[in-house]
Amino acid sequence: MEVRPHHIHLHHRSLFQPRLPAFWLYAALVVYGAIRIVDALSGLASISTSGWALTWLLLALYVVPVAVLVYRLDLHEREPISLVLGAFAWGAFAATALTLEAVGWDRVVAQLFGPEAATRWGPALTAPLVEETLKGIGIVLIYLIARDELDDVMDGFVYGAFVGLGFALVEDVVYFMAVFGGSPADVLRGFYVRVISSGLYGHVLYSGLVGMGVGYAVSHRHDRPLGTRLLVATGLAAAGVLGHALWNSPVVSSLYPAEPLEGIEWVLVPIVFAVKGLPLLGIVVIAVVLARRRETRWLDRALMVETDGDGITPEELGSLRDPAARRRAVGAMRQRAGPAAADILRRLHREQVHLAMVASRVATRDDPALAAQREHCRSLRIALHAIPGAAPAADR
Amino acid sequence: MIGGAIPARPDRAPHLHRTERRWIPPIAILALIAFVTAGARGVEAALSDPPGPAVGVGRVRIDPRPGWTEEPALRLDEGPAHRRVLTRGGAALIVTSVEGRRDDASSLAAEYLETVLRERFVQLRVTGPRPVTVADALPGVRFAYLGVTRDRATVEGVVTAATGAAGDGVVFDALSPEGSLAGVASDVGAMIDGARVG
Repeated sequence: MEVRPHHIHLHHRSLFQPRLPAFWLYAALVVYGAIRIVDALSGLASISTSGWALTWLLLALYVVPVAVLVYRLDLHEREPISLVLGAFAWGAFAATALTLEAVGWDRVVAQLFGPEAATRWGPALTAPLVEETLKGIGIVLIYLIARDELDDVMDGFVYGAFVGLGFALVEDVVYFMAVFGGSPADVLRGFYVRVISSGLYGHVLYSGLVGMGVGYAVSHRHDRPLGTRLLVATGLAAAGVLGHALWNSPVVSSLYPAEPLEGIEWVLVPIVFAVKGLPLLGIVVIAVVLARRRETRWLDRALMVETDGDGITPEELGSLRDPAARRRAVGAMRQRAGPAAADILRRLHREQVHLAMVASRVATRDDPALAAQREHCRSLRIALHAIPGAAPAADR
Repeated sequence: MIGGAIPARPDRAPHLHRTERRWIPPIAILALIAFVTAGARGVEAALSDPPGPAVGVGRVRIDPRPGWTEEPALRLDEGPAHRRVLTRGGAALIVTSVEGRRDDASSLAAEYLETVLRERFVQLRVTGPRPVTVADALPGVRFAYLGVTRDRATVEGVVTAATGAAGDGVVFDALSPEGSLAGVASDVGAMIDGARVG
């Protein structure tokens, strides 16, 4: 029997929501930023063609694995690709271009603290606030465009990290070509300093923390008072800003070995950066681990009571709560019943996660939305078991 | 055949429908962006003095952009060599002129690198020089640098050197804390391109 699964509209929203004013604001600023940044970068290619090509190759070696790692951090519900790419585009184009426009704050610092202090501390006082604000605006716009997709702290981290990754990409291109010199040897040196030695601590972390703050504020609307949400969100964003400020500050810079680097001094570079960056990295790792554990506990709580119904069986919950077990189940299904069955099983998993969301939001267990979602999962299971070989061994 | 129709995903329960105030958040965001960007310009304008008179550096004339002021304490006039320093916030434009130079711009830039920049910084990285055209369509050379001072401040800068028709050499050294040079680049470019040499 051939199974033709119905097309099921999932709740995943795309970035392209032309009915929302937030979308048009986002689009206008990204287009403006793209024009501005492409124009600014285009002059750098003339410094060295080979250095320009090597810059993009090396940055791809950094950006792609980090993007995959961040994307897969969300255990139970991967974010829509258009939204994460939209976050990346905001960081790369809109946030960078708007940062270029935000000049003059250094003069305020100079007026307040004197020109010498401005030279020494200006980058630590102005850039973190300006850049994290502009990057954070992108995260908020993503939320306004697709509210349902930013519904917990981990989602906020993912979108924030992608905004930071886009920002870091453009910033590194400028540094490799314009600051380090642009020749292939200069680019390699820049890659060693800015990516290998310090790539773990940077815009991905700062914006990730800001994103976690946004995620906390919007995902606890029904169970935390406004004051608490603002306090926690501000604290997380402040941690990102302070981490950025510490990185830009002259603190610890005296440990950096004198140029030109020779022999063992090349090893000192990552060590010095680690002194500045590891504390914040540690905080973020702890926060992400806690957020993932919270996600799993939430899934357990929401679905444990559902195992006596049609939405999910105890065996299905056992594999649903562990991403590795889910992947093994999908792989086993593909082997015994083919790719169509594996695809339906993946969709069943997604809808069972959605069942958990509905169950955690409705007031009673006989809510019509919850009943409809249970039926939806049941129907997917029926469709799956109708495929030869897909039913569990005990049923065959 | 699928056993039974698979229902469409249920809509959110009515009592969970959230009224979206579609316009207010984007307008608030736009206002915040305006404050972060234009607000900086507003503060700068409020704190800036009106553009000052032209600054003479030997036989070179510079028209300071609004917000740029000369540091009288850093003036230097030693025989044919003259130096003036213009600052705005943490950024500075050091203009050095030497009368009667017969060297080309590349030699002038190289000498400035060796005698000034290597003295100023304990660590220094420079890009290769590239040809440019500056004030009065003079041929010049330009290179960028990233230096660390003795008190461990990281400074980024761009040096532009040119020689006038009468043999007067001029070096424009624009510098600022790392990461902020781009913010004054347009002002610096305007002052260099508008300079009158010789």
